[in-house]
Amino acid sequence: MGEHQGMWAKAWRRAGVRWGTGLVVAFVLLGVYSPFIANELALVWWDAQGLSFPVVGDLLNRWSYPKYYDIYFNAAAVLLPFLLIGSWLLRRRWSLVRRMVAGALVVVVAGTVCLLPIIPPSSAVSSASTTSVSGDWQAIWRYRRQSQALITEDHAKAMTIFAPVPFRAMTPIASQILKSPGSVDQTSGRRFWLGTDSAGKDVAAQMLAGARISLTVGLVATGLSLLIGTLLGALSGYLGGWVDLMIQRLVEIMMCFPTFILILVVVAMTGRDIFVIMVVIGLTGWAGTARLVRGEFLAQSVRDYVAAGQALGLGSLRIMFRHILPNALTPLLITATFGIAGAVGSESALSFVGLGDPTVASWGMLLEQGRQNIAYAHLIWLPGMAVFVLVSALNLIGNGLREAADAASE
Amino acid sequence: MNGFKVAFLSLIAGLLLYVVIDQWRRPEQMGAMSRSFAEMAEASRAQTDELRKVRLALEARPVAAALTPSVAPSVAPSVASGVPTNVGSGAAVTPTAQVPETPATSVQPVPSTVVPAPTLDGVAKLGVEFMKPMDRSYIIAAHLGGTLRMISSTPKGLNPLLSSDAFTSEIQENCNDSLATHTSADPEAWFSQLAESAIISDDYKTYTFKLRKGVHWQVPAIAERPEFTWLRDVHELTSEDFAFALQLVLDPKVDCEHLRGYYQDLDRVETPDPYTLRLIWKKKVYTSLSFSLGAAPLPKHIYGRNKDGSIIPDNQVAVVFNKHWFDDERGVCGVGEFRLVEFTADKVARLRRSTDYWSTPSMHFDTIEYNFEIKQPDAMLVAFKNGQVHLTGLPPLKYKSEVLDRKEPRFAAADPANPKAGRSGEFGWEAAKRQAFSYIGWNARRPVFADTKTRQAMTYAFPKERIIRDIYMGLGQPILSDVHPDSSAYNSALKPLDFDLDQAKRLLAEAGWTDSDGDGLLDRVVAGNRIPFKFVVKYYANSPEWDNTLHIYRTELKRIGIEMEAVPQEWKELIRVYEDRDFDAVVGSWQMGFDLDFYQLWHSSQIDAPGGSNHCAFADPEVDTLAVQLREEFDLEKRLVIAKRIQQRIHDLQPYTFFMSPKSIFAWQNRAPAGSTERNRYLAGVEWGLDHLHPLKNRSPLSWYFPQ
Repeated sequence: MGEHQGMWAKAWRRAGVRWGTGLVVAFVLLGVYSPFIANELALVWWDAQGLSFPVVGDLLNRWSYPKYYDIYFNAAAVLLPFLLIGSWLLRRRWSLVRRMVAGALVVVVAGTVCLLPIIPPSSAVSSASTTSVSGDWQAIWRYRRQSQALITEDHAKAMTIFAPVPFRAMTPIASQILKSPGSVDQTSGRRFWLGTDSAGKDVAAQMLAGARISLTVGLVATGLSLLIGTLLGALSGYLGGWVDLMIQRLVEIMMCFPTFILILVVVAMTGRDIFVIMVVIGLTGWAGTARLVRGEFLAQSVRDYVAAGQALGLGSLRIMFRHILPNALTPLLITATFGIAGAVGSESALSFVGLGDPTVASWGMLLEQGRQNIAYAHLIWLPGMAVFVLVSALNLIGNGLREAADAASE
Repeated sequence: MNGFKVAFLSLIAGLLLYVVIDQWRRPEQMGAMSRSFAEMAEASRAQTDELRKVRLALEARPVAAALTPSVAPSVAPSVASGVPTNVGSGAAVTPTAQVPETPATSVQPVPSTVVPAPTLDGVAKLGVEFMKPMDRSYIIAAHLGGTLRMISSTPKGLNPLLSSDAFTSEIQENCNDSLATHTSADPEAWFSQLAESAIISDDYKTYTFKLRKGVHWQVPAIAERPEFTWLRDVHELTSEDFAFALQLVLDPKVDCEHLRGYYQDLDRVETPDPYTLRLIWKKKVYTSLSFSLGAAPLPKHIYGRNKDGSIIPDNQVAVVFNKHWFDDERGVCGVGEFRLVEFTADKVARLRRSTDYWSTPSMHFDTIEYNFEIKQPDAMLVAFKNGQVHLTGLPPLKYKSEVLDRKEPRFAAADPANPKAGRSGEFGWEAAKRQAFSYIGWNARRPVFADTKTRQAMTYAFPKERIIRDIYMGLGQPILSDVHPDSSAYNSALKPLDFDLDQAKRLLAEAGWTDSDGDGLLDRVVAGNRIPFKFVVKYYANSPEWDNTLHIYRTELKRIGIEMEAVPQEWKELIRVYEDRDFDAVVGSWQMGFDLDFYQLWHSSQIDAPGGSNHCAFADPEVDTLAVQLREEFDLEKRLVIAKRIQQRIHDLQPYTFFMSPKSIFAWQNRAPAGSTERNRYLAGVEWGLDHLHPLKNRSPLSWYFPQ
C-alpha cells in the first residue's frame, strides 16, 4: 500500500494530475449533486402547511429516477458529507485507499437498500405485467403527484427556492422545442440556460445528468473489465502451463476483434439499454488488462516473498490475491484511468451513431441530437466539450500516474 | 501480435473514417454527379432537338403549367416527415392503385374528336357520354423544357401490376395513361384520356369505351440493344391491351392480390373490335366506376412474348408474367407523356419526353431525373440547398430550424398573415395539405378499451390542438373522421371532443373506472378481475414528432390516473402489429382515397379477414349496413347522406382518436442552377400550381391536394 501512496504523492506533484483530478472531482460532484442543481421541483418550499424540501423528498422516488444508478448517486449525494466527516475522523487510522473503498461500499450498500422495497418501474408501467403494486410504491406515487400539483398550481402562494436549472433532464417541455441558450419558457417563466433539444428537454439539466451517466458507464464498464482481466491474468500468470496457454489464446482472440465494431453488433442485437451498453463495453475491454496482470504476476511470482509464502504452505489463491495482487496494483490503476476515459468515449460514440439508450440523457445522445439538427450549434459543442474535458482529465491523471510509476521503478 | 492489432485497428479506424468522410462529402460528390449528368444532357442535345418540334407545334396553343409537386411528395413527405403511411395495407384509401387509377397526364382539347356538349360535366351517368376533356391551358409554351431533378428510392420492381411501391406508380403515372382520370378536387368529375367516349349501361354494370385512334406504344429503351431489334416495331394501342391487363389482374396465378380485390366483381372483358372495349361487372358496385374508367393498358406485344420475340402460349402467360424478362431488364413501356430512357438501381432513373405522345404536354419538363443515391434526410436537404435537386419536403423540425428559426436565410420568413409568404425567397416553400390522416386506434378486443365511454374519454384527454401547434409547428389540420374536412362528404355537424380532462374524468367514472386501492391509478372490475388502467401504445420508431406527442399525451393521462407506456416499433414490426392485432393502442395513418368507402376500415367483416384493415375491431351493425349500401349507391346526394351518417356513428363510437390531416412543407428552387445559362424555368409552374388545384391533382392525386 505504501508504495502506491508514494507514487500518488509523486504524481500529485505534476500539474496535469492536479488539474485532471480537480476536473474529475468537479464532474463527480456535479453528477452526484445534479438533482440539487437541475430539478423542476423546489429545493425549499414554505407555505401555510409548513416547510418542506421537495427535491430531497424526491430523491428515492423511482418515478423521478427510474434508472438504478440514479438511486446510488442520490444515496451518495446524501451520504457524501457524512462520509467526508468520517474519513476525516479516521484519517490517521485508515489509509486513503481503505477509506475510499469503505466509502464506496457504504454508498453501494445504502443504494441497494434504498432500491430493495421498490418495484422496478419497468414492470410497474408495463401492461403485460400483472404484478400488484406495493405499498411503498403507492406512497411514492402519491407523493409525486402531490409535489407536482404543488409546483404547478400553488406556486404563487408559497415561498420557494428553486434549483439554478429549474428543469429535469428527461422531462420534455413539448412547447419548447430546440430553443437556443438563454431563452425563456413562456408558460413557466423559467430560463433554459443552455437551450433545449428537439424534444424540449433542457440541455443544462441533460448535461448534468450526462455527467452521471458518463461516470457510471466509465466505472461499471472499467470495473467489469478490470475484474475479468485481473482474474484471468492472475490465473494465467501465476499458474502458467496449459492454463496460461488457453487464457492467452482467448486473450488473443478477444484482441483480434475490432472492439467498437463488436460493441456495435452486440448492442444492435441486444437492445439499446444503458446497462447492456456498460456491460458490453466492460466485456470487450478486459484483454489488455489480462495481459498486463499476467506480466505483473509472472514478474512477481519469482520473487522471494512468493517462495516464502509457498514454503509456508499458503494456498495459491491466497498468494495470488493477498500477496501478489497488491504489488501489481500500480499498473492496474493506470489502466483503469485510461479504461474509464475509453468507456466514456465509447458510450458517447455509441449514442452518436444512434445506438445509445434513448431513455437516458447522455452526452452522446445530445451529440446525436445535434447531428440531426445540425443548425443548432449548442447541441454539438456543449456535450462535445464535456466529453473532451472529462476524457482529457482522465488521460492526464493516467499519464501522470504512469510517469510517476515509471520514475518510481527506475 | 500487438503490431498486428494496431494495424488491424487502424485499418478499421481508417475505414470508419472513410465512411464518415464519405457521408460528409456526399453533397460534393452529388455535385460532381449532377455535373456529369449535365454533360450527358449536353451530349443528348441532338435528341432534344426533336422535342423542340413538339414545342413549336404548341406555340400557337394556350399552355401548360404542371409543375408537379406531386413529384416531390413521393420523396418528401413520405420520407421526410418520418411518418410512414399504411400504403401497403390499402385502406379506404386505395394506395395501391397504380394500374387502375393511373391518373396520368393528358387529354388535351382535341378539337377533332371531342365535341364539347353541355352534358359533358364529367359526372358519370347512365346511357350518355359524360367525360370532360382535360384542360391544359396552364402549359406555357415558352417555359417548356429543362430537367426536373428529384430524390427517390430505388423500387423493387417496375411492373405496374406486381409492384406496389410509390416510385412504380409514379413512373406509371408519367409513362402510361388510363382510359380516363379524375382528381381529388372534384372526385366526381371524369376527364377523358385514352377513351374517347365512355357509355355506362345496364344499371352501372356495363361500361363501353371507344378508344382513341392513333395512340402508339413507346419503343422501350432496351430496343437499342441488338438482341431486341424486334421491339423497335411500332404498335398501336388497341382494346386487346386493356383486356390483356385486366385478364392478368383477374388471373389467380398472377401475384397481384392487392389489385385483384378491386376487380373481384368484374365478370368479363369484351373486345368487339380493336377500338372498342367493354367491361361487364357481376353486380352494381360503386367502385366499378373508378376501376373501369381508371383501367390502364399493358403492352401485349411485350408481356405476351418471350425474350426472343416469340409469342408465349395463352395458358402460360400468367405464370411467365410473374417473372417476366422485360421486368428483369428494367423495362417500362407505356403510351404516356414520358418514356424511361435510363434506369440504374441505387443511382438514377431518367424519363424523357416521348416524341410521339398522343396529347399535348401536361408538364413543362423535357426530362425528369430521379436520384436514388441520397438516402439520409439530412443529405436530402443539403442536396436541395446545393441545387442538386429541385424539390424537397421539410418535416416539422426542419421547418422549424430552416424557416421559423431562420437558420437558412434563403428561405423567406414565415408570415402568419400570409400563407404565400414563403414563395419569395431564393428557395420557395409553402404548406400543402395532404390527403391523409393520422390517428391513435383503440383495440376494442382489450377489456380496457371495449366500451365507448372509455374511448371517448381517451379522446377528451388528447390535447390535439396544442400538439399540432407545439410539436408539428402548426403543420396539421385536426380531423374528426376519416373524411378530409375540406371534402364535400365531410360531416360538418360533428362536434369535436375538445381537450377537457374534467369531461374525461366524468366519462371514466361513468364507465366504472375508480381508484379503489388509492394507488393513484384508475381500475375497474372486468369479468371478476380488478384491472388497473395501464396500456401500451405502439408507434413509429424514428419519429421525433410522435415521441413528443405521446409524451404530452402520457403526461395528461397521468393526471387522470391512467398509465400509458409508449413503445416505438420499426416499420416492418409495426405492420405485423397491425396484421396480428397485437396492441392495446396503436398509432397509424391512412391515405384518403378518391372513392368514399367505409367498408374497408369499418365493416365488421374486416375485423378477422386476412389483411383486413379494421384492426381495432370496430363493429357496429348500422355502419355495416350503411357501408354496404354506400358501395352500391351511385347517386351523389344519397351517397353524401350515407357518408355523413357513417361519420356521425364513427364519431359517436370513437374507435380511433382521430388526430390530424398533415400539411407538408413543400420546398422548391427559385434560382437557376449554378453554371446554368438557361433561365430557370424548371419550376415555373409551382406557384401557379399552388394557386390552382387541378394541374397538381392531375399528377399525384392521392397524396397532394392544394386548396384554392
